[in-house]
Amino acid sequence: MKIILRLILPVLFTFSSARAGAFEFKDGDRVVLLGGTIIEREQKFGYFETQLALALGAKKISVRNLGWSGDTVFGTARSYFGPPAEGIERLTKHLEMLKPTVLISCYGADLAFDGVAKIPAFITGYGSLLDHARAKCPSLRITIIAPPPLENLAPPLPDFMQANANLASVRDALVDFAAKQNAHFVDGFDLMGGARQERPAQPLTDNGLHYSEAGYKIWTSMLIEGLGLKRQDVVSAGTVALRQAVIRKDFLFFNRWRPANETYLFGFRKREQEKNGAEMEQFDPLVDEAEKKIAQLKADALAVKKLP
Amino acid sequence: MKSTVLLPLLAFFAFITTDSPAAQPKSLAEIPDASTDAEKAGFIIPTGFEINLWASEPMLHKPVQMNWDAQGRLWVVCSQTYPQIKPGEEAVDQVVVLEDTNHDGNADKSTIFADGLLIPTGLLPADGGCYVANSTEILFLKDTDGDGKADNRQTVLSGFGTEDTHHLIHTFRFTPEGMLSFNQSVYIHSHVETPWGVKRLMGGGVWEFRPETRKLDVFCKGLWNSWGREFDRWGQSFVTDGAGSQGINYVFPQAVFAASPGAKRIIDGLNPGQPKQAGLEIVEEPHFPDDWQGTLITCDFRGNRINRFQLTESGSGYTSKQLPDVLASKHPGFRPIDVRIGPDGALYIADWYNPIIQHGEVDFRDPRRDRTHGRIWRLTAKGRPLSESPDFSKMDVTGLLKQLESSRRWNRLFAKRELRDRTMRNPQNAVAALQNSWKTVMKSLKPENPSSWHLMLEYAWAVESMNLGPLEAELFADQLINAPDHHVRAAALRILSHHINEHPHAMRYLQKAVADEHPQVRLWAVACLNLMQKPEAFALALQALDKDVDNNIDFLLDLTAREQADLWLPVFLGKEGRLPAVQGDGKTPSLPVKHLVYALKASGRPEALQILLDLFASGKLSTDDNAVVLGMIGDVATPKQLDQILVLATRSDGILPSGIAPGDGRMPSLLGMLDALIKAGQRGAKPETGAAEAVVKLLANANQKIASRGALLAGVWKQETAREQLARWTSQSDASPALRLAAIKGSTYLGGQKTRDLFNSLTKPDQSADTRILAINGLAEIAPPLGAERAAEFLASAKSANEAKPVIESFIKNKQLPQLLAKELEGKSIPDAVAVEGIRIVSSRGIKGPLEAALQKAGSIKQMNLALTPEKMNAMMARVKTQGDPARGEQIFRRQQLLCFTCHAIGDGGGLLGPNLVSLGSAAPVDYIIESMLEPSKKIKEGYNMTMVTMKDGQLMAGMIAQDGPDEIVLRDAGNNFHKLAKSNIAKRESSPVSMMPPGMTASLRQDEFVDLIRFLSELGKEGDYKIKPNRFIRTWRIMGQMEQSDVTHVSHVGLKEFNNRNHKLPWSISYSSVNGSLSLNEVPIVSSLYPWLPKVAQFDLQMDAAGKVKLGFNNTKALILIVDDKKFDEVTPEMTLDLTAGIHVVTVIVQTRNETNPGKTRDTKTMPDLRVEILDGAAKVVTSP
Repeated sequence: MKIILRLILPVLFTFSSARAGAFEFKDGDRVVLLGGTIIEREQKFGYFETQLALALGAKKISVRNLGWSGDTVFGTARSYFGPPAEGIERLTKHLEMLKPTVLISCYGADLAFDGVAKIPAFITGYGSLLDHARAKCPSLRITIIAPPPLENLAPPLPDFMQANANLASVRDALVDFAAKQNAHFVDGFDLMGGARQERPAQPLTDNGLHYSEAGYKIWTSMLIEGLGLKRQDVVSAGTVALRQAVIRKDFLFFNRWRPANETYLFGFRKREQEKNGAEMEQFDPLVDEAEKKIAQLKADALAVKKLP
Repeated sequence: MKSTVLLPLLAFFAFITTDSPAAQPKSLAEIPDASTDAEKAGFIIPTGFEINLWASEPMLHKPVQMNWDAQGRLWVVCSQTYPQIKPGEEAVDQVVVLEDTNHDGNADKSTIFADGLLIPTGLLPADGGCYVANSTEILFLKDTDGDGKADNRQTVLSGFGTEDTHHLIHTFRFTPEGMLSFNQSVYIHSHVETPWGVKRLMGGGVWEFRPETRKLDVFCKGLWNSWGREFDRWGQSFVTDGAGSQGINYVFPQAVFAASPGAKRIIDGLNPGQPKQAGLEIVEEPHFPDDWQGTLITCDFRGNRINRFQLTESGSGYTSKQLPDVLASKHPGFRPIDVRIGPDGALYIADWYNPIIQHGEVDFRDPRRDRTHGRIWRLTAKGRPLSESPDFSKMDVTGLLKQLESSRRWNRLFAKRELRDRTMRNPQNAVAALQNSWKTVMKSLKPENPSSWHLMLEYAWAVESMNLGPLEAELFADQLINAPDHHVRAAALRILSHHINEHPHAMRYLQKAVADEHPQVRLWAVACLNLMQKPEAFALALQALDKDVDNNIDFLLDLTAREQADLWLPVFLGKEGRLPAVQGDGKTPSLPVKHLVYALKASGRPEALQILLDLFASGKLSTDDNAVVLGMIGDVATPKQLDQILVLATRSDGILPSGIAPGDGRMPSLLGMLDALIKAGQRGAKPETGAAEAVVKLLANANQKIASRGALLAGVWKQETAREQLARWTSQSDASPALRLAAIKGSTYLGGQKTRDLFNSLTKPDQSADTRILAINGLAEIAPPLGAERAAEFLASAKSANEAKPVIESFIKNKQLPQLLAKELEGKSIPDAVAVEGIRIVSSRGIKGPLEAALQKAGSIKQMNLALTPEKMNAMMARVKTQGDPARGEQIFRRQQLLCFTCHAIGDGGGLLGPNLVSLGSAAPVDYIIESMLEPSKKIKEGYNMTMVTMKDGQLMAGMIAQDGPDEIVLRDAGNNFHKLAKSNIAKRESSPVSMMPPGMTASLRQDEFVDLIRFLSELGKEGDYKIKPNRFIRTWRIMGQMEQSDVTHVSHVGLKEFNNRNHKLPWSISYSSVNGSLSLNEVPIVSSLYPWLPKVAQFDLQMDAAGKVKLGFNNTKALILIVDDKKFDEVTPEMTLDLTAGIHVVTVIVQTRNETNPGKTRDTKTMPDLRVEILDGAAKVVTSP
């Protein structure tokens, strides 16, 4: 019951501040999720795709998670041995491969610590990132998500009030940015309750920053609503099976796009293992198969839902 | 069973290239018997010890790392997925818990605690669960229902790189104060979001993490594969490296070691030339003999053996001495990768089991990769009682605290863990109990008793591990920071470093510590001050300069100055006014000049120069500081600043124009200023005024040292009026060689038709060879085609390879010159020795294009067919096995003309350009060695590729990258010279596919000699005569060649001590001991006219970080004279104890060959035993330099 209460309260709070209007998904959309740790770890739970698939009903979409822990709008974490610019280059190659029609992007969490002085550079970098993405995928529709507030979990963890003030400023900057980019905006900061001094009775994070499973359940529901869709049941047996299939697909895809031994398969020592780099493409049919299973389980879950 | 054994794994040396499994050397197919009996039979165990198999498959497979829990269960992380998950495969890797429930010395229970993991590489049971490295993340796995299997999985940290799966984060250990320590290897780039900000680490390094605060920090950076870390009883820690070759590394905060990307400066390990090692344990365990206590145990997985080291404190750090092996194995599948002392005091060894070890070099999908076996071996000391481990869970707090007095690290560690766990469960109770007990301890504390202070330290660590906050820590800090034992004071600073910005008295403590009498305390003080990241902290750190500064301390000060320059420089320069740089109004405290100079110099910032320049001009600096400032002037001074220097150099009360006597104290300063002006001129910076007048004065100076600098300045400043004077000097017979060289260089800078004509005339055959060489060199720069023509003429009549060398080197400076020379060589004939030298130079510098072929043709050098057919390879391998004589092979290896030692070391003696060959034989198959020799470019070991650098001015440099810093790279060329190249001047960098080792090095050998040489190489590192012994033999020597008669007369006159005067240039050359440690006296010539001794003279340098005693051992003392610095010992005994101060000491060994019965004749030296000198005791390092 507590969870339900927690779900409802922020929602009520939300509708006043979130931008009006829904994001329109089309049949056949290929969605890419992009960002740092919070996006990367979503693939361990699969709640977002599960809810999105169910919320869109008959419309078929696919979702690929390109989140990377510690990443920034400059591609810092994707760059391996090179400068961040190589991270952006790598990202655009991945976008080229996936040809997304929808980009859902959540950056800016690092500014909680870096401070507001970095916001102008962040916004410029974000613009450049989206330019790169649009150059590869001209008809890309974009949703910008403001990073959620940090939970003040009390010592020995640090006090996050300044960090949250910074994140509120990031949100403000992103509102303008999204408008200028003609992108949909989801106020993930307010949706998750904004800055709060007191320790939550039931924290959603382990460390103030990163959601546990319970946190992901709520955060993804908020995102679904922020996109103008209806949150979905993720508890029934059919949806649990669907979610497991999503997690399975994400695992296969992770090993495909971000394989271990990059140095030997594609990097400066590829002379040694280049031929095994070809194995990565062997993941594609496995991912396709996993997609089919997702489609089947989604159909099953929707059918159950329609039953009186 | 053979068919089930799969080969391969790990890796770091590019032993095998990877075309296809079929291309694998056939000898790899010689798969050994993988049974545990066969493996056990292969062990060589020292007397007094025994080994038994504790666990093996199917109880575990492919162990990667292990740690014990307090209940005596061994947690092992196992990966069969390594090296790469296959499409369609599930993540199946495991955490296995092994247990010996009946205490019979064999594991009898194996539980899979967790599976579904993806190449997990580290684990540590703690906090009621287990931390596991799972590729990109650290998981915390917990069993909440008590069934022995994890049912709760939480991601604790994520964002670790996976660029190489044998580099993934690894080596999970506890720090003494209860943090989680783990390491990452060189290819990994990690980006981790934490509540304290995003933490990033590019390349290798050591991380430390406190779970309850989620604070994650990089402790130190660098190393290739830091697969071992452990702490000694005083909280100092050491790291081993599975791909570097420097043995034990002493790590301290902010230290940077080899292979760290962008490092400007690195700290070396303690055992240069050591084999590569994984795992690390420090013995504090009564089951082992007394002389094992405190020694370090680590695994030489390549050499199938386990090593032991003993540390001696030295300055702020340590020296490390290798002891006899813990054990060795003749079974090539034995791959020890982790060692831990267990609950019973025995040593447990994780054996990853694999006949060969490769990562990238063997195909990931090679069916011979072993993915099934894995063993835990148990080593015990015969006749010594095993230890018993208490049940910590049943003890009260007093009982647990009592355990902190134990001599077993096991007991202290797990008592602290139990205290921590209880605090986490019930903080109030634990704290109250602790405080009561604490009072008792305080009362019983006996300041004169060292163990009492160690106990105090353990208490402090226990409190830290409970993370009760700074208040409790402070209870201890005041005591510890003032302890009489420096170990405790240094350890107190490690504790302080974790609270550095919260502790109210940090600056007060550090003020005292930075002036501590012990250098290790000063090192940690500087480390703490670095972590504070404040100008005032840096100013305080500089006070360390007032005491002896050893390399570690200097490293940290220098690093802080560079990395924090943005913080302190504006303040020091007085812009923000808090710490004015020099005494101004007398109200604010000022920095001592020495500190200021150090900081400004280390910053390398141009804006720091003016203040230094003013100090220089005012004459306030010491001689050393003057040199520092002059160096900076050359690098960064503006034209206006150069004016200032020029005025100083030529002012009327200076040495000009009247001349300056040699030996005048002002001379070094003047020459230094002129050199700085030349250096600035070479980068195009020239004083705004006064250049012309200065050149006139300088050229007129009677002192040729000054005049020659005038010649160079005339050139870089383009003073046409000086041209004629320079031209005269180039061929003036009474001009010194230095002046003539300067005149030629000056003329080169002036350039133009006149210089061209001048040089052309100087290259005529009637000129001396030296003059011709200089002129050709000049022509190569200003008129390359003409220079090439003259060079070809010169080479055709060159008398020796040595004479030809500088000419050939003049023509490889950029990409065009070699082509011009090649063209000129067409149709010409040159001596074959000249051609061979040329080919060697050209191929070892990576010069592509026609020059090599042209030299070959001009010298009529026959083309060798180097590649062997498979049949011939088999025949050759068979001959090596049956006929090869390793002793003769070693003689061949040592031949001067083969140049092996120029590039390769065996152990800690030899060149550094190529891979160290110390364990080549035990790690590489014979056909690999043969192929590497005949076709070096086919097998380039990782990290030894040649890099070609094209500078913006077109100059071409080739060599190995020794350091890749933010602003410059340091290139080590084929002649082992270092070149610093500013990145801003580099146009292009390419990695060359060509080995720096030229093909055909062995072309001069007969086949039987080649076979012997290969046999010798293939024995290196194997059990037997060609495994480097752990003794600290002197392996790098200077030996005296043929002396000029004038030098002989000089030494006769002054005495043998003159050999130790390094300022007197004598014909020394570097020589290395044989594998057995001896210097072959046959290779040392007799100084035949030096009566009455007729000596053979060999010399080495010893470095001491702090004053101390050093005991040298001599295998033979007959006819020896020993000279240490300026002290001569006519009586040499088998053991000589020297009392040495901190610094470098020259030690000369004179072997008299005088025939006692027939003075004036030499003895039959063939019967003289070779010279073997060993450091038996003491913290001396051998640092013999050319």
